[in-house]
Amino acid sequence: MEQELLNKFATELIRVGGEFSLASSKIEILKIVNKILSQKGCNTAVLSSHPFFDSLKEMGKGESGINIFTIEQILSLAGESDYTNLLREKLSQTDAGINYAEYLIAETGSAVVVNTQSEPSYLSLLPEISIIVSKSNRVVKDMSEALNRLRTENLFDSSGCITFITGPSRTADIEKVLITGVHGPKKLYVIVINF
Amino acid sequence: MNIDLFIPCIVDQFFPQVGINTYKILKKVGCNVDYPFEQTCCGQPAFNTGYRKDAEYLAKKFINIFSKSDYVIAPSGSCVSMVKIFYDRLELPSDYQSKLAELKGKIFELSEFLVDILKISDVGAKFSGKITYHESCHLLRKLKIARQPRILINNVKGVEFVELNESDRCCGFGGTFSVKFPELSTVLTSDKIKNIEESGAQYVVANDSSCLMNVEGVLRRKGSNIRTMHIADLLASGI
Amino acid sequence: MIQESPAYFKENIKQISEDENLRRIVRKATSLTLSKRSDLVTEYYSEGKDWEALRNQAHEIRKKTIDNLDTYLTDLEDHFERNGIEVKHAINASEACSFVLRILKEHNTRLVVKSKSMVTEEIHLNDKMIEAGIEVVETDLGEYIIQLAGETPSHITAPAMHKSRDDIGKLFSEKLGVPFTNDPAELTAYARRFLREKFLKADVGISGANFLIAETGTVVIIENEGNARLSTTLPKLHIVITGIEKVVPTLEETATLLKLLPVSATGQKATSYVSFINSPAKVKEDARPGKIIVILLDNGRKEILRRQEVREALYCIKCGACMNVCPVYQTVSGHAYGSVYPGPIGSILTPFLTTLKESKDLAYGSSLCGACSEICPVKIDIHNALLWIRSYAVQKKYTPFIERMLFKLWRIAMENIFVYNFGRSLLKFLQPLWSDYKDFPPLAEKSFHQLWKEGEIWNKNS
Repeated sequence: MEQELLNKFATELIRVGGEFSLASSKIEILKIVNKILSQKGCNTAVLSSHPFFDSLKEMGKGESGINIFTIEQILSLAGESDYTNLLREKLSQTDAGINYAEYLIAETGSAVVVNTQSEPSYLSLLPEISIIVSKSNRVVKDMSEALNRLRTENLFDSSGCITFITGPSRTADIEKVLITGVHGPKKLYVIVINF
Repeated sequence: MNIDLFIPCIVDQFFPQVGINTYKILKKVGCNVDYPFEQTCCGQPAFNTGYRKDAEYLAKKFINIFSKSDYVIAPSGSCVSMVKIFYDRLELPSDYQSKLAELKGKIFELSEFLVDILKISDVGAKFSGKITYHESCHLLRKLKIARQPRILINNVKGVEFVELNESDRCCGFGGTFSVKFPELSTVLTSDKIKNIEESGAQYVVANDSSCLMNVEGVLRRKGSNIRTMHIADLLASGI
Repeated sequence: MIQESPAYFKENIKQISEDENLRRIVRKATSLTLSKRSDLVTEYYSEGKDWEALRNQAHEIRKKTIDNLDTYLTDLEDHFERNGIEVKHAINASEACSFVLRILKEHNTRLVVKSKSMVTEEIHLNDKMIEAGIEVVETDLGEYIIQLAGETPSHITAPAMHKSRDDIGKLFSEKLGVPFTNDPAELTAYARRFLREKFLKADVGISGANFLIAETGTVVIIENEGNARLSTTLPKLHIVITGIEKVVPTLEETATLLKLLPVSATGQKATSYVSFINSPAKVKEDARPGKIIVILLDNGRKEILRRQEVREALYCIKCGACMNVCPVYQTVSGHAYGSVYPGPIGSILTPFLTTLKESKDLAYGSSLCGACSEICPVKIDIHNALLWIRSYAVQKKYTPFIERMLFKLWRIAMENIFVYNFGRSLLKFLQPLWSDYKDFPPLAEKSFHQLWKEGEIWNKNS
């Protein structure tokens, strides 16, 4: 069942222009992220400070030569100055943002991102590349189930803003021609770790 | 089976042969056919234009004339849908409402009656030519009739049937719409004709004379060789 | 010149019916969206699911909500307050605009970024803000194009549908000073660059809402570009302006509507982003607006609510499918209607947002083919509502005098079979109604009535 949902998720994600990878361990996530970043010629990336990434904070350093900041680091960098401005500035200049998704929705290929202090909304929005990481046991059937789970796990009411992300930012406002990256990310990668 | 014909006013005044052919077909399949002489119009033109009081008057007249019939058959989807569906929107006295409820179960469009009630899929007609089919809006969307005419047409000997692209797109008639917005109506009709031309058919068949009158009006103006044909005319060929 | 008033509908149509270029662009765009939609509906059934059942379910949700609107609005307001979202009620356009202007003044606003909102079009908010000296930037690409062109949206979900890539290329090179290109990707990249700068500088973000969830006090915004997310997260203040009918009782019911809306609107299973906004930022580290104000607009909606015959129009979730499928809309595009909401649903809403007198022709600008009711994701009987508005116009005597007289005569003729049969010779006067465009058929030599009476029919065919 879990496998079926995951397959469906991958199919739908690819359909909307996203890219799917499977990681067998947290270390492998690191490898995949590094591969994406170096393939895309990225120099900088910002990583969410979601607890999921705690053990991976140091990832990427050394190996690929990519600078990875965490949200926490930006926060401490800000000190007494305007944090929000610094965050905007950093995220506008960075090539990629790395988020954690609480759930993945099989029916639509969507990732459910809860925007919090450790991963503010800009993270999945301002950089041209968005990388979203989640776990294989967090794939749900459809939007109804995602919303139900958010409520029962007490994530809905406690969050200021939740976003369902389905593929990269897109528009078809000029003669219905599909263009990605109109305001948000041009590319969306979802990495799922087997759990 | 005893049948009362309901001949819509457009058929009565402009295309009586459609009425005659409806009669012929029903006789051919063994029905007793009568024509209540006092009938005029079901009231649809008034209703669709917003003149509900006038429509109500005619609805009452219609119900009086046909409430004792065993079956009421009309060669039109639009007029049947007026009785079956839109009469409910009128403010009719309760005695009329109960008569109407009964009437709604007895009134049928010709092709629906032949296929679904009489279970006839071949009336024994013969016609030679390439034919396409336009779905009249009320027939398709209000009465949900789409399968029955195709069955009947396909069983006419000698007919080569082709489907029409956008067959369910309105021909642009719409009653008073074609009078209030003639240029717009004509664009829609021209779209329809373009599809008919592209189908390669010599004849376009439909179940409503109003649509056909509209399409024919532009075909003639263009000097086209394509002809319109009511399904009753087709089904009565060679019988 | 196309007039921006529904009173000029007929004149506009005459003019636009000639514009083959416009027709080609609009038909291509609507057909593409319709075919993507119908592919998804087919797929839905192939997965063993029932699209029709989903529509019925959505209809029931909307019916229940609108029938008990006040209850759900109270619930919504309670939860908004609990979540720290301010609520204001605006009776009409001018009240809504003055609320906004007051708020903007209080916050010393210089630059407002807007994400697509038909309600702000409805109240002409941009004009008012610009008059007050505030810079206003539309950030949805389609809206941005329209704003640069000084036009209004021609479609509720695809505002620049009527423009060709060449039109847009010329517009960008003229207004933005960039080299001419008609490549959609390059044009989009220009817009990204110009707009990103505005987003980062904006003081206030103004958006509409797709749904307002009563049980949780949530604003739901659906979009593809990410401009709504940027508009509602970057500035320090977020103002939501939306109609009172947007309320949905529960999260579960919102999920049902979320399944229908993108499929019907753009032929997508889900849009790129669905945002559920529950509350303003509590601490600066949230990096979202510290204040959210929701303005709930009536502006004629309660009048629609009172009219049983058109009440269903409030079920509308603004997908625009009725426009895409309407042969009239496909032919004349949105501007012809001279109304903020064009097409079939617009022809029902507009008489209540303006006046029936000036907009009565809209309801007549339909061939009553019923394609709109058939596609509507929440099963609004648009056909029926159009018919009722026509009858209302007749009741108010807003239809032409000559037409009223003709129907009087017609009724006399139809009342009595002898007058009817005698009157048929007068039918030849119908000829001129069509003669500029089509050939009117000749009257039959003898009517069916005559042939029957003379025994022609049963003698020959018995």
